[in-house]
Amino acid sequence: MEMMIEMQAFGIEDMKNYVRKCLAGSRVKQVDDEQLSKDVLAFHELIGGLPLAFSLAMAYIQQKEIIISNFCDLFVKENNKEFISQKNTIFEDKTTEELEDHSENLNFISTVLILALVDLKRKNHNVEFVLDIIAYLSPDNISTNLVFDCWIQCQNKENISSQLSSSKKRSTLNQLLGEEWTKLLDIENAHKDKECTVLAENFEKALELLLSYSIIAVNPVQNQLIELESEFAQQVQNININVHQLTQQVIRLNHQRSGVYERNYENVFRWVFAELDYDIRDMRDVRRAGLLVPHGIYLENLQNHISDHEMAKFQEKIADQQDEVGKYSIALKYYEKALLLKEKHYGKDHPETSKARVNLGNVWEELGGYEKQRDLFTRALAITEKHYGKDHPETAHVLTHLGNAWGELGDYHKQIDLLIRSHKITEKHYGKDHPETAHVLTDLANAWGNLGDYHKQKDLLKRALKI
Amino acid sequence: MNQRVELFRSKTQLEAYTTAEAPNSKDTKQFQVSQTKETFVGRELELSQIKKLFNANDGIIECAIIGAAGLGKSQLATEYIIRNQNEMYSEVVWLHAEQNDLTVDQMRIYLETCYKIKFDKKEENKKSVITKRFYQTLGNVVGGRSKSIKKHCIIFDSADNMEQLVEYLPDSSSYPTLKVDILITSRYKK
Repeated sequence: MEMMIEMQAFGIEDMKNYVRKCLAGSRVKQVDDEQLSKDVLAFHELIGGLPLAFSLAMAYIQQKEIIISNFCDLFVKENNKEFISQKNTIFEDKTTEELEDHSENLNFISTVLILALVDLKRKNHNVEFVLDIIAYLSPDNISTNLVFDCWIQCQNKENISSQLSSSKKRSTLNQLLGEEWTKLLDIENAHKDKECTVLAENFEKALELLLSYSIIAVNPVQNQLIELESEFAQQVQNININVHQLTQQVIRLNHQRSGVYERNYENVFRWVFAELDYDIRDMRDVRRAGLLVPHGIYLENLQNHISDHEMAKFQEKIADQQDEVGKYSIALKYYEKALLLKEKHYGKDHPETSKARVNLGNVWEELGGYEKQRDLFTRALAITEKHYGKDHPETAHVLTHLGNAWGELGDYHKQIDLLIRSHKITEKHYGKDHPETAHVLTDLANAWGNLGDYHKQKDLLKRALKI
Repeated sequence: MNQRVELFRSKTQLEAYTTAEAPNSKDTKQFQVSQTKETFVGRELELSQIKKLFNANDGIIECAIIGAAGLGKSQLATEYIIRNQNEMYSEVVWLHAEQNDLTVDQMRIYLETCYKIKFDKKEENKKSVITKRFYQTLGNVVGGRSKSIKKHCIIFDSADNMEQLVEYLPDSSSYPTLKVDILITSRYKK
């Protein structure tokens, strides 16, 4: 590192310039220089010189068309509620030291944000819901389409639950009518087209409002990116927004204080969880799921109350997708995480845990980590055999991979032994002409080839070829 | 679902923001640089420090902008780009480095879109392969247009884990022809 620049907070002069720049041409009443100096001093006293807090405050002032001293009054009123307790708030993965370091900053932002939200909610009640989602997504380049989808989903859920709760008295009846209910909702969905238009308009309105209050920023999608993705331009046809990570932090902190963090986290989590599923035969769908991965990783890093086995599944979904597109290092990392959680949840010898080892072993195979692969599959084989039985196709699957791992490590005799066992099971289970059987045969053939028995190799390859 | 996409497409309101703020410099290619116009004041000393450092650079130089969240680190970097890109840079590549694992993806997309480089399925996602290719490509471009004195500028934004960032940084012995100014924004000094 040749140079390091440490950023400082705004000084009084900076703030004065900022105010002048912001208010030039706005309808906010202009004041003379002396008054401005006074105002800015008071301002600085209140919110300090944190540029982010300042820009939020100025956006608010411009939107409300109020003068600075009015804003200061509002701020003091709101701030006295002491929205964020300074200490003892353990949250996320941040150390308390760091938290204390900027707890004051969090407080400033929180207060300005709350003022803005009061105002925004009055203009459009959707704003808060949209922000509740944005606070839990990876902050750079959030696609508005994604937020919209998530928002619709959460809304539907809320609608359903509110409808259900409004008829709580007839809850037993509801249970009986469970299916009828879903049918009714389906019919309602048919009417959604028109509703969708309204929803989209509301959503855009909410985004515009957030934009005008500087809470989010818009990032145009790069032309070049669109070019690349032209095959599914439809999906890319959207606008990306970003939000400052400190703003997100403040929103989440406020959620925690008002006891809605878990619900909001879960809303977004469930949505990403579902969206991470993809159709393996459809490359477009695989890539679509890929757009969710950064958000999945982000969510996984946030403090949460999701149970171990569900989080393990979530991590596996991230890993599956990354594995599918060949991003093995990320796949590896998340399979490893999932394995740890599964060991904790199911125990070390559970078949679920064993499956996690198989996943991990497969990635090591791709990466050429054959010793690691061998160890994982050896462990998995013992459990699979015990659980499924010696003749189960699952066992055969593990046998094949273990065999090939030995092969890669140069022990062809072991490879052949294992592959022969696998072949017997596969043939028995799938039949002689099944592609799976051919697969094992090919591996076996090559193993003989490696031992120098080319006749056997040729024979087996011929058999495999027929299939 | 498709209807909704259609709906979004026909809506031009929000898109107005995107076109109105397209970059005004034709000479400089940009990748992922923020186009948001924000009110910017002050920071003159910092801006001139960065410029002075980078102006004298004929190889690889790194400069870190350090400070707590919300102090305007990324804004400073953006402002530096806005002021100096025409004069100094042929290309500006902005990489979101907050999630270290995902930085390499952006490098790959950059190479694929701006240089039409195709990767083998096998090597496509290897961090080391892509990083190497990334700096080789940038090094070659400058060497090829030897008349041009314009360099590349790379920004690693929100690189909160400097230890992990190191694997993305080039050293001059591996890339002797590379001329690049590197800006890093981070909350931590390490």
